[in-house]
Amino acid sequence: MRAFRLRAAALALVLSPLLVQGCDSTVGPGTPPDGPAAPAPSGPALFPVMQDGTRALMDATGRVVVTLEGYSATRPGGEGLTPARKWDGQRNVWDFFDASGTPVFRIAADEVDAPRQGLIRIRIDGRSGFVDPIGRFIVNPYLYDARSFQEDHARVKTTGSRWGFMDRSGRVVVDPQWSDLADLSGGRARFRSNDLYGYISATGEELIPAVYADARSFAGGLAAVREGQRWFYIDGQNARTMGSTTFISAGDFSDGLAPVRTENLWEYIDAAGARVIGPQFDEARAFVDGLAAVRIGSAWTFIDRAGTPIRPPEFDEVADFEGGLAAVQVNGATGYIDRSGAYVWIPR
Amino acid sequence: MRCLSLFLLAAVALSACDSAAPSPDDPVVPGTPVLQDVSAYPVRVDSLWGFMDAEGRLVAAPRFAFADEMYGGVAAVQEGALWGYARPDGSLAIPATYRAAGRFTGALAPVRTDDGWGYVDAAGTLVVPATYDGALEMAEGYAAVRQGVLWGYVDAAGAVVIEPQYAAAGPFSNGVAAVQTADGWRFIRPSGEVAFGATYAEARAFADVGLAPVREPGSDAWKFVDASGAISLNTTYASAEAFSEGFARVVEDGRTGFIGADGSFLVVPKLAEAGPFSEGLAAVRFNSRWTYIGRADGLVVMSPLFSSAGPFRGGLAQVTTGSGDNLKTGYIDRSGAYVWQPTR
Repeated sequence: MRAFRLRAAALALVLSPLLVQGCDSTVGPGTPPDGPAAPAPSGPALFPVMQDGTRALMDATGRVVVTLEGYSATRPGGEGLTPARKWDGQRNVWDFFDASGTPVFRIAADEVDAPRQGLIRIRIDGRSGFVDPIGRFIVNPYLYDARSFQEDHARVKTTGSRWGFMDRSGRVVVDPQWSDLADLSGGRARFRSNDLYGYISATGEELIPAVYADARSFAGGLAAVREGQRWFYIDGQNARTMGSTTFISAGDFSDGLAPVRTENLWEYIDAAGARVIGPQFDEARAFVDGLAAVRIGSAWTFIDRAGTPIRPPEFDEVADFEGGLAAVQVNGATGYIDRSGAYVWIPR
Repeated sequence: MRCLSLFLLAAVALSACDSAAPSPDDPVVPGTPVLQDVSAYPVRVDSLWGFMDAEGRLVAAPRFAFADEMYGGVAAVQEGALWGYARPDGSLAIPATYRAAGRFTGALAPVRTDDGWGYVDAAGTLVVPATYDGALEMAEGYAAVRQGVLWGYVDAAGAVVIEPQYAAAGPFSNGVAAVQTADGWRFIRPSGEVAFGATYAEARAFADVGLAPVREPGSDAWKFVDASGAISLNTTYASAEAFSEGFARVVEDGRTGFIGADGSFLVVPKLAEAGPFSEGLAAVRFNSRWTYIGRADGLVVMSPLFSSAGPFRGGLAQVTTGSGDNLKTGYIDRSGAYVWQPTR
C-alpha cells in the first residue's frame, strides 16, 4: 500500500513540471484581481476543455492549469479530483488531477468516476470496485456493476442482474433483489417490482409499496409519481400533496420549485402546487443552486428563480451547474458559462 | 483474538517496510509470511530462457529451452530434450542428463532417467537409485515415492522411511502428512504411525496454523481438523485448501474466498480463482484477469491485468500477459511495478 502511495507521489513529482503550465505570478486577463476562487470542496476543481485540439483542464476562472498532451479522454471532476485517460503502451490508465493540476495517483482501469463521498468507482476486467482518493482499493473489483456512493450507500450488483445496496465498509447491506433500483435520495430509493414502482429505505425496508406506474426519486421531500397517464406528487408518508392536481409531466423539486407540464409548455410550481413561473418552456429541468436549464424553441439557456434568463437561449445542449460553472454546447464545441451567464470558456 | 492480534502485528510489519517486509531473520510465527531467499529468476527472451537478478538485470544469457524457478540456489533447466540444473550465472551445477527434473525443495531433487525416478543431491550424485515409478519433491526432509500403485516415503539421506503402502501420499507439513489408506485418508508422522484424527473421505495438508482440511465419510462438506483430531472449524465448504500464511482458500457456490484460522472471512467467496498467500500477497482472479490481494485486509493492491500470476518469492512474482503465441512472461514487485517487462 505504502509503495503504491510513494509511487504515485514519485509519479506526480516526475510529471508535474511537464504538465503544470500556469503559475501564480501569471494572472490572465480574465482572472479576478483577488485570484481564483477556492474550489467548492464537493464540486470539481478543474474542468475539461479542448485547446487547439489538445485536451486541457481549466480552473473555474477559465485559466488552463494543465494541458493533457497524450490523453485520450477526460471525465467530469468531483471532490477536487478530475480523471483523465491515457494509453501507457499496454493498457488504459487514468490519472487523477488535483486542483493544482498535479496527478495525485494513477490507476489502470477501463472506466472511472470522479470521487463521490470520498470513494471512486472504477471498472476493470468487466467488474466494478471502489478505490479511495489516493488509489487504494477499498472494495475489491468483484462487483458485476456498481454506481457511485450516495448518502453513504452504493447501488451494486453482486451477481448478474439484480441491484442492492453496499455500505462504505464494502458490506452488502441490502441483498440484490431489484431489477431497477435508484440511488438513495432523502433516505428513500425508488425500486421496481412487477413493472410498478415503490420506495425502500437504506436498510431495504419497504417504505412505499410498488403501486405506481412510474416514479421519480425523492427531491426536496417530495416525489413525482404516475398513475395511469397523470403525474402527481407524494410526500415521504405516501400522502398525495396538492389535492387532486395532476400533470402530464412532472420533474424534481429543488429550492422549492419543480418543473411541470399541464399543456404543451413547461412551467414551474411551488410545493403547494401554485404556479411560480408561467408555462413558456419547451423543456425544463430542476433548479440547481438557484438556476434551471430550460429550452425555448430549439435552444437552451438558464433561468433564475424569477424566471429571468441569465442570457439569451443559444445553446444546443447544456449540463447542470457544478462547481460554479455549466458546460454548454454550440455546434459540437463545448464551453463553460458562470452563474452570471458570462462565458468563462468560449466554445471552441 | 490472539490470532487476530498476530495478524495485526503482521499487517503492521508488512506496511512498515513496503518492499517485502518479512525478513528471513525474524522468528517464524505459524502463519506469518516468510520472505524466501531467491538468488535469480528465469526469464524468456526470444523463446530462450536465462536468468535475471532481483533488480531485473540479466545475469545469465538466455540459452535454455526452459528454465524453472530457483530452489536451493539452482534451477532445473532443459537443454534439448534433457534436463539438468543451472546456477544463477547460467553455468550447469548438474549436467543435463535427465529425462525430467524436479525442484531442490530439500537436500535432494527428484529426477527421471530411462529407468525410472530417483533423487540427486546438490553434487549431482544419484543418492536414490532411479527405481521408482513416481517421485515427488521433498518437504520437511521427506519425499513421497511410488512403486507400482503404492506410495511410501524416503528421507533426505535417500533411505526408505515408510515402505510403499498408500494409494496416495501428500507432502509433510508441520510434521504430518495426509495419506490414503485402504480405509480412507489419515494423518501420519514420518514414523508411519497415525498422528491424530480419524479416517476421512479426503484430507489435505496440515499446514501453517495447525489446521487441515478434511471431508468426513459420507459428507460433501469440507471442515478443518486440529492436531487433537477435533473438528476445529465445522464448515460446509464445497472445497477447501490447506492454510498458507494464516489463511485458507475455500469454495462456496462455485466461488473462492479466504478464511482465517477462526473461520472468519478475509475475502468473501466472490473470486473465480485464487492462489495461496505467499510473502503476504495472494494471486486472485475476479473475472478474466489476475491481480493480487494483501494479507492485512484482503483488498486488491493493484489493478487486475495479468493472464496468469504466480506466487511472490523473494519479493517478486512471475506474471504473464497476452495469450497464445503472444504470451509474455515478466516479473512485478510488491507494488505491481514491472521489474522485468513481459517478454517472450
